[in-house]
Amino acid sequence: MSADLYSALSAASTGLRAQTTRIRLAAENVANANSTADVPGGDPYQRRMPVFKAMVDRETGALGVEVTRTVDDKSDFPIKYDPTHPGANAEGYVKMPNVQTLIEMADIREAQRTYEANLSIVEGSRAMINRALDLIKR
Amino acid sequence: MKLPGDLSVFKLLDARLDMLGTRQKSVAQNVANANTPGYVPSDVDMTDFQRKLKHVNDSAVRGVGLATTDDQHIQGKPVSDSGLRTMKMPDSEVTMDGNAVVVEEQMLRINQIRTDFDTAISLYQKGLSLIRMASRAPN
Repeated sequence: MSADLYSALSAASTGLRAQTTRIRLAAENVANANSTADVPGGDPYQRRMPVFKAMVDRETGALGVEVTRTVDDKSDFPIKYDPTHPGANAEGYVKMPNVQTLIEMADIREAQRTYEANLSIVEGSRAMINRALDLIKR
Repeated sequence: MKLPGDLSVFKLLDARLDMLGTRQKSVAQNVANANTPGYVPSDVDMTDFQRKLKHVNDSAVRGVGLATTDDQHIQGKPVSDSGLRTMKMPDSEVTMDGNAVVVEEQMLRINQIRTDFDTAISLYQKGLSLIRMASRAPN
């Protein structure tokens, strides 16, 4: 019983870590929402996304989660007309990053919700372990 | 003498606590993988648990070990099938990436597990206090 509860804790902790990585990536995207190239016609910042994968923890046997890698968002860069910009091409157009702040915000909110769910698993499992330990106290 | 672990009440509660632990583990795994593409949540197979519960009192089913016909034979540890089977149990919604975890339903499940666990522990405590009461010297 307690072995299972401890592996519940370790699975939840991998969830916490994965969601933190996700929020970090979203924050990086938002921070770079206006990072354009500084050479004419160059590519701006490309939005990055985490890839989640189920992973078995060899020590506890719990099926946790892991961010295996981050991938670049291959969607097109929006184009803005700004001839005075250092990154503008010959026609005067600048490529802007393919970051949409609204999507990032929604993503952060979802990550936060899942983070909280993982946290309540940690709290619940800990309370159960403590409850079982109370049996030997009296 | 019978130890508390041999009394059927405690054995039953033991089995139940075990099941609830396994259940909590699978909920934790489901929540950790709440955003993993293609992940289908799992839960304890209740029919398997009920089948094990029926045989909790006959020691023959408890484990398969080496037969010892002589005192000098190696005893060995009986191999028991104590682990509960889990099965895939998708929640009510499946997202476009094939993930079938609904966090709200999992949260509901941990509350249920928590209540069941507290009940079982309270009953265990009650049982222990009954033994204590019986073993106290009359005065």
